[in-house]
Amino acid sequence: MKDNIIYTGKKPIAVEEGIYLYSKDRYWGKATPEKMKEALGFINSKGWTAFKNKFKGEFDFTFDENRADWRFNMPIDKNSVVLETGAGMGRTTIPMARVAKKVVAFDGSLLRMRYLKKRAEKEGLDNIEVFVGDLYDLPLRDNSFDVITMNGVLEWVGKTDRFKNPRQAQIEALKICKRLLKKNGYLYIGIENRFALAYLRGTDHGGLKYTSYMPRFVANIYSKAKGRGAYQTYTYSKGGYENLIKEAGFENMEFYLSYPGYNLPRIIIPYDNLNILKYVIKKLKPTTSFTSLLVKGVASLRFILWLYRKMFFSFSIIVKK
Amino acid sequence: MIPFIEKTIRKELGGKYDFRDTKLCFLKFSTPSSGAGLNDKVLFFVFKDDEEEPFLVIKTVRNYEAKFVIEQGFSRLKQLNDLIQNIPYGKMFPHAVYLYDDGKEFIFSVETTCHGKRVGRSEGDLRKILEKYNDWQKDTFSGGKNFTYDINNYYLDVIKTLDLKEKDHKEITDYFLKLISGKEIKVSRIPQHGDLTTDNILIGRDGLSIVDCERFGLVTLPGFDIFYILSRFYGRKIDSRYSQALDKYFQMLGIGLKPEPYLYFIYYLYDLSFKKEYALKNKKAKDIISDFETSLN
Repeated sequence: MKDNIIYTGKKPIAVEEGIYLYSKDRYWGKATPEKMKEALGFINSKGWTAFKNKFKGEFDFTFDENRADWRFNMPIDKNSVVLETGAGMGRTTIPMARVAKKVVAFDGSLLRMRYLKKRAEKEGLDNIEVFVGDLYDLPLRDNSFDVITMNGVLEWVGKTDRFKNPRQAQIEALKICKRLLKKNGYLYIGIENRFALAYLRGTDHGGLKYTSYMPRFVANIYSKAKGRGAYQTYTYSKGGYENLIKEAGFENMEFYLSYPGYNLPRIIIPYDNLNILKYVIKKLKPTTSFTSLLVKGVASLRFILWLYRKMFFSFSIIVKK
Repeated sequence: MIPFIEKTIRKELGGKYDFRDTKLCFLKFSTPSSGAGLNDKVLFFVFKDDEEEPFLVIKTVRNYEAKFVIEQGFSRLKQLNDLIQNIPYGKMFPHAVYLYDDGKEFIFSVETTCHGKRVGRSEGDLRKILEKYNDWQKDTFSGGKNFTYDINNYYLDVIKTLDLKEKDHKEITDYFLKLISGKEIKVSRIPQHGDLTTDNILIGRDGLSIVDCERFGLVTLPGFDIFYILSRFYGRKIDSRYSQALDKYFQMLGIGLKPEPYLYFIYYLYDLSFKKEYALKNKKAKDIISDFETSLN
């Protein structure tokens, strides 16, 4: 029975292995569903040690405890109730649950929630609740959470036909989070920068190069022409996120640069402080090659630092209700 | 947590370090090797707004149950600070400033920062590091009345920390006894930094600085720091560069030790003991011995 302080009482469409499904199961992830099933079966039959050995290098990232290190920038303690949207395999759910009173984690994929449930059991964390659900149709009461996380989620919520365009979908998702947050609660957003330098080399979320740099309508035509369907995974610059978040009704937000990325925030730099960015580049990065020496040299130039920040790979955004 | 830390240090240290009314900015920093584990520490550099260098470092852990990491680190740094207060190495190490522990959820320590750039991995950098390190060890520990300790006891101390199965424990001990072949050697106990890697060494206007002193004095077998940093520079292959650097160090401190395989083996075990979670996973005595022999050949 779900805690009726948080849950609305909406009936699940199914219950599988003790996990409530409030929406249809939709698998996503780098591993194929077959691989996930095999992994879960292996954990059941052989245990975690054997699993880690057999699947070495494939699921290791789910055991890192530093993936939610952005939580240090928020006031989270043993009284905090946290909602993790798109919790996946729990790489941030587990670290959050160690310091919070309760973490409610949901995802569109039953297989991933089964994995997270098993991880919670393994770690002896009985303060994690999981369910399968859709952000736009949650069984949760308003004003219930001290913290909500959208770690690698906001860019994907536009992949829906519910709204006239991905931006509207993103604003609606943020509005939902605002409603679910308690007064003075915090929303965490981990997401890429639309104009990241990395997107000039690698692919955007839709699997194509340069689409984040293109005007949206061009990216849409290009994506369809390439057989990838409509372009729905919008990312933004810092200013773009500020406008989006404000349009959802929030006013207070702080931006951080996460390095190497929001998924593994080894270094978290306050966005507004160029001195700290300079310090990281010049003093903390070792000089191992001519290129690193060159980078350190040009980091003395304010304009270069400013430009580098504009093209930084990802942001950690802390928004206060 | 940062909002709480900021409030606390502002109250406790704001006067001493002149930041009661100054905006503070926090930089979370860890290196790829700093660890992603539950019990690994997390670092925050504290900057006064508009300043280019941090003035304090906050250390905490992801899990309160690992509070000993912070407590021990703070207490070892304090020991080091006490030891060097009368010699000219005050700026070579950070200073332990403040420890907060609420007894249930939060623990953090505050240290001063050392200034400088992280060192590179060139021969020139290594030479500079060894020279400065040797000076510090010599000025601090030579000539005094250092306690001596039987080399076999060093071995017994380190093997105990590895938590090996009885069979593996015995096999490794037999191997060590073969290496030492009945020699009885008394060695001065010289506190080692314990984590002398390039990540923890800075070169700046105050000369060489060594940070992350949490393991200070955990190892007192002289030469361990030299072995440790050389293994990070040259890899695991123990060759004449190791013996030359160690010979020089022993002579300088007036220690009657020779870099021989039994000594390298103890160093190697200490090195393993600091990363046992990762390095000892599923390893048996024969694997440990074979890894060591590979590095010797």
